[in-house]
Amino acid sequence: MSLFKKRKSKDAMSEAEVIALAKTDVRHFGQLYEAYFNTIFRFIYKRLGGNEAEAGDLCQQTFLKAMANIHRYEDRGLSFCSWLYRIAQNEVNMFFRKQQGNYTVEIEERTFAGMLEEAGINGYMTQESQEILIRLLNDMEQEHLDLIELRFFQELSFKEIADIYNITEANAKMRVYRILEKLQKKWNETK
Amino acid sequence: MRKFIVNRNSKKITPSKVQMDRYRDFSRLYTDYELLTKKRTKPIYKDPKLYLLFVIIGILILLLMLQ
Repeated sequence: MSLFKKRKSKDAMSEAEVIALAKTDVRHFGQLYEAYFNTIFRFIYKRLGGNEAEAGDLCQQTFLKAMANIHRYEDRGLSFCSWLYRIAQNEVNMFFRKQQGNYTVEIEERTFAGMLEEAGINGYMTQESQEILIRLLNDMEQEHLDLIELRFFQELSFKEIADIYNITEANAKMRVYRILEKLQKKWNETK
Repeated sequence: MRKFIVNRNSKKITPSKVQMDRYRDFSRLYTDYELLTKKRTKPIYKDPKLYLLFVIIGILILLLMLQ
């Protein structure tokens, strides 16, 4: 009976236990892979604007790096998923750098409108005004674009963004709103 | 870097389950990992120290046989 008690099923294992096991034997990484594959694939797919084949490759690369560096992962109160997000974020940025400005990312009109609303750019938007705003957005620094993208186009919470950048939630909020202020200022200058 | 464009056909940019399942393959990941981390064994003729050792052993055997 005690033998059965000692044996824990895979489902009952906590994430921390699975990570500890994966550190000693990478074959246990499979459970983490199964648990987070969809989340990370969706994240990369959306960041690439729906490029399925590239998303597949970058997702595989992300998990390969995570698997090879699992021994370096330390639980500092952040979720394992945010660590994966960070690796995926680096992989995608590396991919964009290789493209040297020749890559276009499609964003949903709905999420774009949400961002404008948050930036205080309200009212009826003609297609032309939208194009000007997109141009203003594209002229921004890539680091700023990353934050805007995560918050509005990926629809991540400030907590999730904070975890990826290893900053506080308040800091993440402040950074995003400062960028929006900049965008609003630029938009007012064009009018 | 990348440039944004607005997708105006109200199509949601989210992968379907079928698309995700197409790329989910832990055995391929494990094989890639093995290839990445496996120590490549050098052939003897490419290791100068080992090569020299074998030559010396060969000479010694030859000398012993000639005696």
